[in-house]
Amino acid sequence: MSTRSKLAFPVYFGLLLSLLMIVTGISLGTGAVNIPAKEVFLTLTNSLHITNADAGNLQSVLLNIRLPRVILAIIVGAALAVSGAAMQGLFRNPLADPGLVGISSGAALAAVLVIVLVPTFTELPKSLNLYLLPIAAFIGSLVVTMIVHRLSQVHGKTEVSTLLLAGIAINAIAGAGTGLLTYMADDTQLRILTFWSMGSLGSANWDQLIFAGPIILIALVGINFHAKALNAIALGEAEAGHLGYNLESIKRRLIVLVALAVGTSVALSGTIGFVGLVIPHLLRLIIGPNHRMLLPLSALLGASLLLGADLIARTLISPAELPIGIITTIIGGPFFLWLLLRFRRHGGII
Amino acid sequence: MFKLHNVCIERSGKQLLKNISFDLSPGEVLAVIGPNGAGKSTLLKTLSADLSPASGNIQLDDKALHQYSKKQLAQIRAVLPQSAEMHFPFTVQEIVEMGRTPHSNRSLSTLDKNIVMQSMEITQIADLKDRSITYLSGGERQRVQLARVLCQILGAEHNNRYLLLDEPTSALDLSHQHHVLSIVGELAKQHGIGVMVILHDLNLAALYADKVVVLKKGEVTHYGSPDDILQAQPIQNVFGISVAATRHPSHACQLIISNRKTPSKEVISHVL
Repeated sequence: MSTRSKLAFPVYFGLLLSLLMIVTGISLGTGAVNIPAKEVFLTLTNSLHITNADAGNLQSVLLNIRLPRVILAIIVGAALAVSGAAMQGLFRNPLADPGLVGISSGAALAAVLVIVLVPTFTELPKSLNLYLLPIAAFIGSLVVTMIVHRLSQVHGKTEVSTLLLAGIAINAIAGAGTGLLTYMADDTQLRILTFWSMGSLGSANWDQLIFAGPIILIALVGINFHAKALNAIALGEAEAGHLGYNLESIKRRLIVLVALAVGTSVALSGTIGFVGLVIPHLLRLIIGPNHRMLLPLSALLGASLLLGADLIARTLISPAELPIGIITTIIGGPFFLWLLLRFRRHGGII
Repeated sequence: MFKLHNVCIERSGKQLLKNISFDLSPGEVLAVIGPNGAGKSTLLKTLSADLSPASGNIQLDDKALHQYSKKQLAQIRAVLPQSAEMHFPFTVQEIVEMGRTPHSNRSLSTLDKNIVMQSMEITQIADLKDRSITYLSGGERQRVQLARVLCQILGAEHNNRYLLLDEPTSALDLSHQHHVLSIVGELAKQHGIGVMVILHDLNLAALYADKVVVLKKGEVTHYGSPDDILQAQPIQNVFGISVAATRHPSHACQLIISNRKTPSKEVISHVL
């Protein structure tokens, strides 16, 4: 029986937007030093030139450290959740997550290659390595997405077992590659590498955000334009074609957009697993699989989840930090197992 | 009208269809029959423009099939696949509404919504409309998909429209088999829709088809009226089983009765 709730889309959108605002507020105020809500609010309005009041002496902490980090969490969380939903739609399978099928680790491997093998990477002017990393990560994720898609399609259908096995193989290869490069790395490089393996939002800064933020936003808006096509693809690829969609070009566009979103996210924050799996799935349980609702709501809930996870990561053992990937995996790993059990009970898709 | 002239389909060097020629007219129900592997589904994929012929040509309403865009095709012909597996729990109504995609922009108009309701009522799934497709039985799913393809071609009355159905009755019980084919026949007559339907049951073809195409090993062996084709000898030749053909006791059509098959002595002794 369908137990789907019948509330309208604007209600969900409003609820999830409020959730995101609340988590954002808490994240801005909480940390090594707690900043009272009033000061947070005044600092923000001051910097937008709405008010000009005394906002206390923590303005610079807030504006230069906490705010970019919060924004980074929001865009990366949204990017991972929406990419997950889009991949699942494209592969017609609820288990296709950018992390599980190896897209994130492909991006990370490409980025690590750049860090270690471009000999002067650490000496490059900051502006240049700012671009080089996301571009490499984008190419890495694009290549992996195409390989995985090619491998898992048999006569126009997605072979789930091949999809997941290909993911295992690619994750292993990327892991080995990254491990090998670790040996060749010097101390500075090593510090950067550690950050890739587990993911962290700690490096957030405005320069990065101004370059990568718009790329991710464009990718997400682009993916959202394909919501109706993704619904049709759920019927089957041939069926979507019979409904008038040009499947080849839609697939190509979606793969590039997902690679762009995932690659850029990985360049900014390393590999953060399971967001793309957990968020769309939770939402499908509540609102159903219609991508016109699923994609925008995934963005909101993904942003809230990553923001919450980052809050835990940086406050739990304060002043030290946990890698955020550990937090999302602690939530996501068991969730994935639960999904597998659930599918087995419902006739199984593997 | 669909006009196929000497159409050949090849895939990886193998000829799947050889010199296929026949017509499918608006208002007509054309049944395609033949043994497994004869190329029936390949033929359907050819008419739906999923496969393009290696040689020969296909005209659709006086224009070559390949000159239509996917969108144009989607507005005048709908295709019911053999089996559509779905892993996402769309509701029945959501799936049927997808059939309106080629005609609507962002949201469905009142006309679209009426057609959606009408299609669900015709196929007797209106009471399932809020159920999730993943919880339906095989027969119910098949009717949902049928409602979707009906909904795709209803409404646009000014065009010739076509329905291509790949074994629409395979998962249905006896009453629904007849229900589906009677709707299809009725739509063909009322709305002038050209229907090509792949069938396994020869008696369904006898009862509901206006014309029959018989395929064997990629070739059309017979093409014509069901009365002429559904005779003992042609059926025996094509399917390799012994049948008796007679007139239907209550309808003016043929009735095919299979005789019991006795395994040949060699097969039995081989097994034992």
